[in-house]
Amino acid sequence: MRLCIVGIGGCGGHLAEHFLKNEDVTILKKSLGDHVSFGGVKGLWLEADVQETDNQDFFGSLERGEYPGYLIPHDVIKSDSKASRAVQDRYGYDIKKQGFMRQAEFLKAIFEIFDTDEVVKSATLSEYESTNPILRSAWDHIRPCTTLAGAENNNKASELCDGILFLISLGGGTGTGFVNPITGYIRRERSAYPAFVLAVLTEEGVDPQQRAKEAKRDMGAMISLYDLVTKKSGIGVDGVILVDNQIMIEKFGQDYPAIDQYIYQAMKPFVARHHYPGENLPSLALREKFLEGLPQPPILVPCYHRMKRHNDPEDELVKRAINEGQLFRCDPKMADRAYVFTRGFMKFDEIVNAVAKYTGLSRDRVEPWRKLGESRWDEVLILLRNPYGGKDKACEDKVTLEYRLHRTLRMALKYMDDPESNLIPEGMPDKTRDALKDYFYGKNGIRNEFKRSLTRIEKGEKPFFLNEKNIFEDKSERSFENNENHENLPDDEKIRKIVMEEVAKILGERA
Amino acid sequence: MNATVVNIISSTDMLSNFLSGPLANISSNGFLGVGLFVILLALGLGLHKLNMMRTYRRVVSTSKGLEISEESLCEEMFSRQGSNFNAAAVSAWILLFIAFAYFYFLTPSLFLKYNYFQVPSLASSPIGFFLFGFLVLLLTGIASAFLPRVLYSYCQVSKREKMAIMLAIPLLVVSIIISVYLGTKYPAQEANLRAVAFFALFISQIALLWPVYLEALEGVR
Repeated sequence: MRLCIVGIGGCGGHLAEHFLKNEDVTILKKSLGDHVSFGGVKGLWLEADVQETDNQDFFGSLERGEYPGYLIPHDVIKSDSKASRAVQDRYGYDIKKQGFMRQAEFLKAIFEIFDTDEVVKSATLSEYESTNPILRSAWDHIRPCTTLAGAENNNKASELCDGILFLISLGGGTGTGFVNPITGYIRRERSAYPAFVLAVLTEEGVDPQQRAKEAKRDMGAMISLYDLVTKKSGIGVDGVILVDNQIMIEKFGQDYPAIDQYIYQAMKPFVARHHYPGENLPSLALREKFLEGLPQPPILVPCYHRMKRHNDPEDELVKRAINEGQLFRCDPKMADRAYVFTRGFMKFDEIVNAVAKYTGLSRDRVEPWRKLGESRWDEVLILLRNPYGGKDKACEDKVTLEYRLHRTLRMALKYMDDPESNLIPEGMPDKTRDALKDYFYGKNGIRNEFKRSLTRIEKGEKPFFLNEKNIFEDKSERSFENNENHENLPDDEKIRKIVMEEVAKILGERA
Repeated sequence: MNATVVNIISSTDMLSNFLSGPLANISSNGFLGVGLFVILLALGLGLHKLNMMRTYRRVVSTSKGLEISEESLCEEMFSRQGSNFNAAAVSAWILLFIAFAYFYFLTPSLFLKYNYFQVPSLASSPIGFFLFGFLVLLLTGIASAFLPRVLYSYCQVSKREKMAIMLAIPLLVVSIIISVYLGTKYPAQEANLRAVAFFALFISQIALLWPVYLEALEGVR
């Protein structure tokens, strides 16, 4: 497994910097040779704000051929672009806007317009030879790092990445808004190419940098997380690794570089190379493992611990990782699988036994992959799959995943219900206003979906996010839905029940 | 002010005593110096082999029932250290051997029978020093290219260690320049300068082998 690290937005960029730093020596920060990163990873930073890129000196401009580099995808749109004008005139959105201040729905809307509006599509196609030049531009810069590029540009196949790890914060900014459209775009080209997301949920209270209220950030976070986990397998990402910045703040205070360093350290067993012989797992196989038996991408909670090397470290390492090293609070007993990545000398069976002991999972639901470690240190990263559900009122218990997400959802709803939120801005064309109104406050809008999700969390149902929501529906799909009289179709639960009954019947007949 | 001057004077005295004391004794003893050089090198290679064997044993002992070949483990352990570092490491090893040869075998002061002056055609040539160095380069070139790959590709080399290896280059250049200077002045002797050249050579060798020693040390802990 070799991952392409794509940091999106401010937080994603800071995290990506740790993953992509050069391990080779340089003189005055100039390297004459290849860039060598930990785990052989490659990657880039996608940003929407030019000022953000000016305020750092790690990433150079990809457009100028520098590596590691940043890209401002919407720079591909020229100021006098017809497509840009069409979007502005028809929908009231300025696609050249610098940065996205806590508005997850802004990017979501823009990319949906490119996907659904025939006028915009044809204007864009005639101008850029692509119906979505912003995403095309981003993908064109990610693709050469991946195995999809093959032997193009004299790449060595063994040095190309067989999967992508997106690094974002769920704060409602660029990362939150960009991750779903870009993964959706990649999926259209390659439905089976592994893509994982490491998403950092921002801390409680007011954000000290941008002074964005928690409720506003939480609405962005929930819209993005909702989109990430409601897309069907093969359409969305293959797993969302969640990190709660609240836990990091409790550990490190407001020391954000230390937090980034810790998250990177915790993810090292995941991205590291030097596998135990015969245990080298391709990203594609990991993708299959993550999605096994699930119709939707899973939430993965990382638990990490490292300690000085000693004999038989497995039990203590696993115990500490699960009890003290959760990067997002959860009840490990609720997980339905555990994927374990170790660095150091550890026995396979002992790892399985320890994880089974502390999570209550059966041994066949624990999947360890061992790697050789650093001198003197042993470390373990356990990704607990969907560690929630099954318990009524679990959301009242502070040490559950439900508690945090329930709070975030409530905050998101509070923001939606606040008249000052101005989610449907004045001066937008009717088309956009209607679409936003429908998306936020319609009968099947996101507000009602969030309310239903709250109820599901309270009842301990799993998963709690169900139906994918778009702001601008594809007209062709909408007409199909109308013809089929969508209102009379049974809901998801009924369909699930019917399918289950049919499967049971077939199996019974076979038996 | 006075205290600072006293401190500087006493530091200079200490350095001078060190250079003319134990360091001068070792640096002026050819057999001891060559022995030390060979022992450090052999120890480095031996410890590297032991490190590899220890890793193999640990992997085998934690892989119950699985057959693991040393080759497959070596393949997994291989890490790219970067081309800047590789170039620096190869250069440093080449310079180490040249500095070693210049220090011990340029003049008859340490080895009366085995030195550059024993080859009159070379010694009388205007580019004799250069040809001598070039000859050493040819003789040790393969080893210099081979050693960094063997020693650093299978162990963890931190960025600090890489920097130390890179800094060995100017240190070795200093050692070579001093040796050449002493060779030019011969038969006149300068014990302190010789000690500096020896010190630079010795420290550089330690820096080049340090990642291997450290790994062995950490393995023992």
